[in-house]
Amino acid sequence: MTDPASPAGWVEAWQPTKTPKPDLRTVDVHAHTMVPESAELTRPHFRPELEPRTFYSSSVTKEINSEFYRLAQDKYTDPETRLADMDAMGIDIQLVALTPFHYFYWADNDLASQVAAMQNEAIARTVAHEPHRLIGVGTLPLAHPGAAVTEVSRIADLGFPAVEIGADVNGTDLDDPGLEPVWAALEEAGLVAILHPAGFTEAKRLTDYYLVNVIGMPLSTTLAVTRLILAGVFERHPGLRMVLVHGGGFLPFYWARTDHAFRHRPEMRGHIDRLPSEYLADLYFDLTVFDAELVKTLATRFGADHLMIGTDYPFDMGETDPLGLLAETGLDEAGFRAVAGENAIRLFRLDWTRAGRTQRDGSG
Amino acid sequence: MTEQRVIDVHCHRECGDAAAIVKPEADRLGRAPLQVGNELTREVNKRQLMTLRPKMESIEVRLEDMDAMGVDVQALSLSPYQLFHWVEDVDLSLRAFQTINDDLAKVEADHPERFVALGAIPMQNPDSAIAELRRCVSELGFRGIEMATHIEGVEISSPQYNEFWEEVEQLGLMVFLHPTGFTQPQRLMDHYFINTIGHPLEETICAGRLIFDGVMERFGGLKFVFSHGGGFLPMYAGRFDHAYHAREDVRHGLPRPPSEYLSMFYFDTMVFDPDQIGYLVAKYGADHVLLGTDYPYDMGETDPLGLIGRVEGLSDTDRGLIAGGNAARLLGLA
Repeated sequence: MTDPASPAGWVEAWQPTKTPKPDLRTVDVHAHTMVPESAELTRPHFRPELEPRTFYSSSVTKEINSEFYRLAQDKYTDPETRLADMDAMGIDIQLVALTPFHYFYWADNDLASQVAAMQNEAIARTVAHEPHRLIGVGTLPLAHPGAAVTEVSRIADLGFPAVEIGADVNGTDLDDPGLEPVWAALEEAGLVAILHPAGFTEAKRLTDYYLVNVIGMPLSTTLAVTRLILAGVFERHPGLRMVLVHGGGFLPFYWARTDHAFRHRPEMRGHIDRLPSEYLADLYFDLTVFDAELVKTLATRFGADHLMIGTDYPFDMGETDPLGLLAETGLDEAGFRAVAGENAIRLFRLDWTRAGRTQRDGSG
Repeated sequence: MTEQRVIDVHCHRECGDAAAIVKPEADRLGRAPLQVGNELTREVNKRQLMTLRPKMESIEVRLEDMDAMGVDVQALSLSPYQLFHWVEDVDLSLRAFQTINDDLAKVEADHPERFVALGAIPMQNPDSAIAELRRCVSELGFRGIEMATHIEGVEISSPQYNEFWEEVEQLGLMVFLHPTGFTQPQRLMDHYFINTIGHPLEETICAGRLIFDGVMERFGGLKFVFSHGGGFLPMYAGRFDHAYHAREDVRHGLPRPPSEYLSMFYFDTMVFDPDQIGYLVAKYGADHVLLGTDYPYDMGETDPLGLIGRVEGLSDTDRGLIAGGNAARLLGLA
């Protein structure tokens, strides 16, 4: 028997969900693909010190991950394998975003623009395979805001409803003033930003036990979103809509310490008028937290209309039975339906009667 | 005494005499207290050290504040920034820590009904650590100690402390864990993140290491009380358990999933949010949550009983345990 705690065991983890699917389209807003040719293109320029999750990983972690990528390759790149696994999970529609290890934010302006365009085209080809079920999420050359703004309009032209952004850009925080035009462009284009970390930059003490991921990922999101709030990015861009993966990291349940500091420490103030937690309440969170109690807590605090299914497919730090997790929360039927699909359909405008969709369906 | 006393397990006192002992060494190394952060943070902290001086120095002021907060007993620990683990000289550090503990012992002796001392340990030298630990118990009568979440970057779960934890377990001491910001603070300089994110992050890493490094497996009798509600881990344990089941590099021979060891820990109420306290009680039991205030700092809670009162669904028994019953039990107070 395959050891379930092994790369081979995880590849076999997708078993049909036993949880009844609601009579609506279920949507997974947190899933990944990779674009191998973009990795080839950037390889000569690789900056290992700017890939913290790998840079700070132990050798055993690196071995496990290489083995997993080898065994799970089809899940990342083959649409048919993806669709079969979506069926097993009870997922009708999946938003397909790049794996964060393909951000390549360290590339120079020309290379970064070229790579992002290549990746977005590749994602467009993947989702064109089954446009009713696969929805593209774009990537941006965030280290070069001018190029990123250009790519925002290309992504809108590709018909994607969202972009994926890292939680930092080579260690520069997202509230850097240089990114203001990017937030404005996303707001203008009506693209949702899905904030997805790629590990934490100062991870010296997170090497063992895969803490680079287990702690590093939620930590990175926590820092990014707290900075975005305190620096007033959401205050200046009220139309910017953002989804936080992994349940939003730590802030959604640990907001009160930040609010307290905001009330009592001058360093927190200057850019926003309301409490930090009020800005947080405008954001959306996925369910990749592996704990129905925490999901319930998030639903109580932010409302079931702010939660969405995320699976982190096909990573081993993913959820293979999202409907089972959702059922375990004991949300009422309206809440279950909202989280299972309605919220995402509304936020990402996955409305099949819309002209743009119909057009693309016709060409597909 | 039949009436339930309200016990605050998270409150601080400075020790000027110990600071004076290490001052030449601090000057030589260019170390100043609470100076990690941007310019504004450093200025605010400097000012706070001055304005808090009466509360730190005067027992009368402290007793008045305790009365105002409804706290009968403080389980008193040193301000963590004065845990002088950076002093390498063995004799000098031992002298500083002995001075700290003698001072705490005197506060307790002067007001035995109001204070219980938590000892400070020179962890930078494992032999001194055990010696001072024994002195704290046998000579000073301490029932608990305060512990940093790392010793100058070395995890407290590292093998060099095996003997120490074995001794602490045998002595039955309560261990109050308190961080001093994150060891890699480069990205936490603004917005007082060194505290608001750094503290809970340190606790998360420390709890994770105590679990995964096998300290709780080997020394299951240890009574760790985490400050700031244990940081992020108590509510985010699902990701740890999932990783344990999915990955060999996480499991690493640990016989049980991390959340089972996490249930052996205790957490204070210093989280500012009654719902979060409610979550901790629901998940870990009312017998694992203890009142704390972080007195006298600005990141503290001035109405701890009010906060506990706002937690929904607690019985009077639960509230009694959190307000003082658990602390009395862990500290072995009659």
